[in-house]
Amino acid sequence: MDDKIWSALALASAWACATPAHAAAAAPPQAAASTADADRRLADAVMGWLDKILAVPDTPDVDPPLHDAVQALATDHLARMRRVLPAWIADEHAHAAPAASDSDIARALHNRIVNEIALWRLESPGPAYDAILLRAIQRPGLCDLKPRASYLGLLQDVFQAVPPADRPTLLAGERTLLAHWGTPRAGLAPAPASSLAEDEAATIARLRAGAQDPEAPMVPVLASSVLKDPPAEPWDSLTCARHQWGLAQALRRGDAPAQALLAWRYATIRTAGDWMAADGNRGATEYPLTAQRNGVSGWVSLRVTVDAQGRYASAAIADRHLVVPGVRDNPPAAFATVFDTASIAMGPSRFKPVTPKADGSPPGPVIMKIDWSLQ
Amino acid sequence: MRPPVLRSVRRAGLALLLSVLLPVAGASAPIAEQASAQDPVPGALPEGLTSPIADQAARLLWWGDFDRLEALYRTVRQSTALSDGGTLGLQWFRVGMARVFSNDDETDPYYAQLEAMTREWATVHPDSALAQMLYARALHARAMSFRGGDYYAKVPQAARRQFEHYLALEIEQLNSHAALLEHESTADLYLMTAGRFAGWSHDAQHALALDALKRNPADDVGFVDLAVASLPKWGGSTAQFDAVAREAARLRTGTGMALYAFLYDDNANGFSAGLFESSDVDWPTMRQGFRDWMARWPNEYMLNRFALQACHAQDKPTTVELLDRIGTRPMGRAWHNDYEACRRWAREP
Repeated sequence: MDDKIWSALALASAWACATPAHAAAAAPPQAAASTADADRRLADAVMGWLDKILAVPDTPDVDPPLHDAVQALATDHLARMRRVLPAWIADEHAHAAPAASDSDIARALHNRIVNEIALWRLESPGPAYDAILLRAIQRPGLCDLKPRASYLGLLQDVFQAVPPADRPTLLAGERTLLAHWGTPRAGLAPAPASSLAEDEAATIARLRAGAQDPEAPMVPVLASSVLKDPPAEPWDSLTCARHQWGLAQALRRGDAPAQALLAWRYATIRTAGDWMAADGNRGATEYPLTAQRNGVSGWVSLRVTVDAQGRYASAAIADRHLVVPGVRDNPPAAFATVFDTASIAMGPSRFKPVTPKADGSPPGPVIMKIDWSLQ
Repeated sequence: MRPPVLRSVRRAGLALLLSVLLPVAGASAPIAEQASAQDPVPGALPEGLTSPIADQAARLLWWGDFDRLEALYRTVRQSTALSDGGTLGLQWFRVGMARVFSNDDETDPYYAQLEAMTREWATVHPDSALAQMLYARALHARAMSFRGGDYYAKVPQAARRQFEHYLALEIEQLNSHAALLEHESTADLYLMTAGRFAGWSHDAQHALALDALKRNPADDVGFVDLAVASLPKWGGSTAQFDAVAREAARLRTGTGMALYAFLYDDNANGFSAGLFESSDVDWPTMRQGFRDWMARWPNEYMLNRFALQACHAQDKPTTVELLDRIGTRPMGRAWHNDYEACRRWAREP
C-alpha cells in the first residue's frame, strides 16, 4: 500500500514549507505575514495528504450506490477539515514553546492527524454498527486485499462485504466517527491488557511447537507464512489475515464480542510507525526513529520476570506515559507502542539483579522504568 | 500389492495433475493483476500453462474463501466443454487446488491447519460435495506430508504409520459420503489416487477411471493417472501402459489418437531406457495422435514436443517438417537439451 509514501510526501511537503531555513529567510518586519503564509501552505499540504488518504477509488466491483455514499462521506469530511485546519494550526501555535519553529508546528499537526485517524478506527459509534462490523471483518477472503491505493478505498471494501441493508448503519456510524475528529473522546475504551497480537503470538508459538488444534483454523496463506521457520515477513494482507484469525480465536474461546472487537481495533489501527518510512538500521535500544521524528518523549515501565538467581528472564510492558506534540485532549493511541520494542530490548542491560530468595523460588516480578527523553 | 513407489510423491502428484495441462495456452489476466509480489499463491505455473480458473481456485483456497470457491466449482462443474488446450475446466479447478494442497515447501503444522480448515468446512456444509472432497483432499495432503518423496522402504516407521492413518481417513471420508458424491468425477479421481497409494489393484483403479467418465463424460483425467500407475517402474507393464493409452484415446471421442500421443509423450521419461527403446509405443500411431492433437488444439509446446519425439523416433522427414514450422524460436522447456542435436541430425544428408 502507498500510505507510507503519501505520508512521507506529505511530511516532506509540509515540512518543506515550514523549515527553519524558510523561517529564517523571512525578514522580521514581515514575520506575521510570513507565518500566515506558512500556515496556509501547511494547511494545503495537510489537505493534500488527507485527499489521498480519503480518496474513494473508482472500482467497478463496488456497488455504485455504496461508492457514491462513501464519496459523499469523504467529500463532507474533507470540506470540514479544510474549515477547521486553520483553527487546529492556531491551536498548535498557542500550545507551542516560544521558540517553536514552523517545522515544530507542522510536526504537531501531523501527529494530531495521525492520532485522529487512529482514534477514528478505535471508537465505536454504537452496538448496531459494531455488530455489523464484527460480521464483516470475519468474512472469509476479506483480507485478500485489492490494491485500492487509499485508506478509504480499503474501508469501502469492508462495507461492500456486508448486505446492502446493513450499509446505511455503517455509513451513519462512519459519519458520526468522522464528526468526532478534533473532539475529546471521553468514552474511548482503553486497550485490553493483553493485545490481540500477543494472543496470536502465543498461539502461533504453541502451534509451532506441535500443538494441533487452535480454536480457529488458519487459512492456508497464514499457516504457510507464520508456521514456517523463519516466518515470512508480514505484509498488509497477511497482517489482516492474522488479526482476522486472532479475532476468530478470541470469539471461539468465549471472549465477549465487544471485547474481542476492541482488541481487533487496537491491533489494526495505523500507528505512527505505519505512516512513516522504515526505521532503517537503527539499533534496537536506540531512540526509536518514529518517536524522534515525531518529537515523542515519555517513559515506559517494564514488568521484569526474574529467575531463581534473581537475574533478568523476560519483560513485558506494564505501563507507559507519552508526551506527543499535537496530542493533548485524547490518548496518543497512534503512538502508544512507539517505545515498546526498544524498551524491552533495553531491559536486560538496564536490569540490576535482585537478591535470590532463600528458599530458591524465583523472586516476584520487578517493575523497571525507562525514560525516553529527547533532551 | 505393494503401493507404487514414486520418486517424489508430492511432486509427482502435482505433475500428474499438471501433465494434461501442458499444451494449454492463455494466462490469467484478472486474477494475476490482483496479486502482489508479496502474495505468492504457491505453485504458480509458467506463463501460458495456466488458466484463470486454476489461478482463481488456488487464490480462493489460499485465502480460505469457501463460499466463492464453491460458486466457482459449481460453474466449472456444469461445463463439459474442453478449453482451448483440450483441458476440462474442472481439471483446471483441481490444478488450482493442488497448488495449495501439494506444496513441497510446507511442513506438518501447515497441513494440520489445512486439515482443520477443511474439516470445519465439511462440518459446516454437510451437504456440500465440494466441502467433503476438500476435506478428503486435505487428509491426502497430510498423508503425503508424512509419506515424503523418498522410496517407501526408506520412510521412517512412525511417519509410515501417520501416512497410512491419514490415507485411511481420506478413503473413509470419500466412502462415507459416497451418496453425496455419486455425481462427482473428482471424488473418483481422489479415491483413485488414494487407492493407488493404498495398494489397490490396477483393475480397481481402472474401474474408478471409468466411473469418473460415467459421472462426467468429459473428465478422462483418471486415465492420465492410470497411465502413470501403469508404468513398469510403478508395478505395471509396457503392455498395460499401451492398453491404457489406446483405451484413453478411444474413449475421448472425436480426437483420434490425440490422447495416445499425449500419454506416451507425457510419460516418455518414465520409460527408463527411452520411450522408443523400452515401451510398446507405435510411432505411426503416436505421430497421427500428434497431428490429431495439433488439428484440434494447435499450440507451440505440443508442436515442439512432436518434433522432439519425431527426432527420437528417427523419423527424419517429420522432424525436418516440424523444425521448419518451429523456425528459429524453439521452446526450450519442450526440448530440454536435445534441440541442437536433433536440428543437426535433421540437416544431415
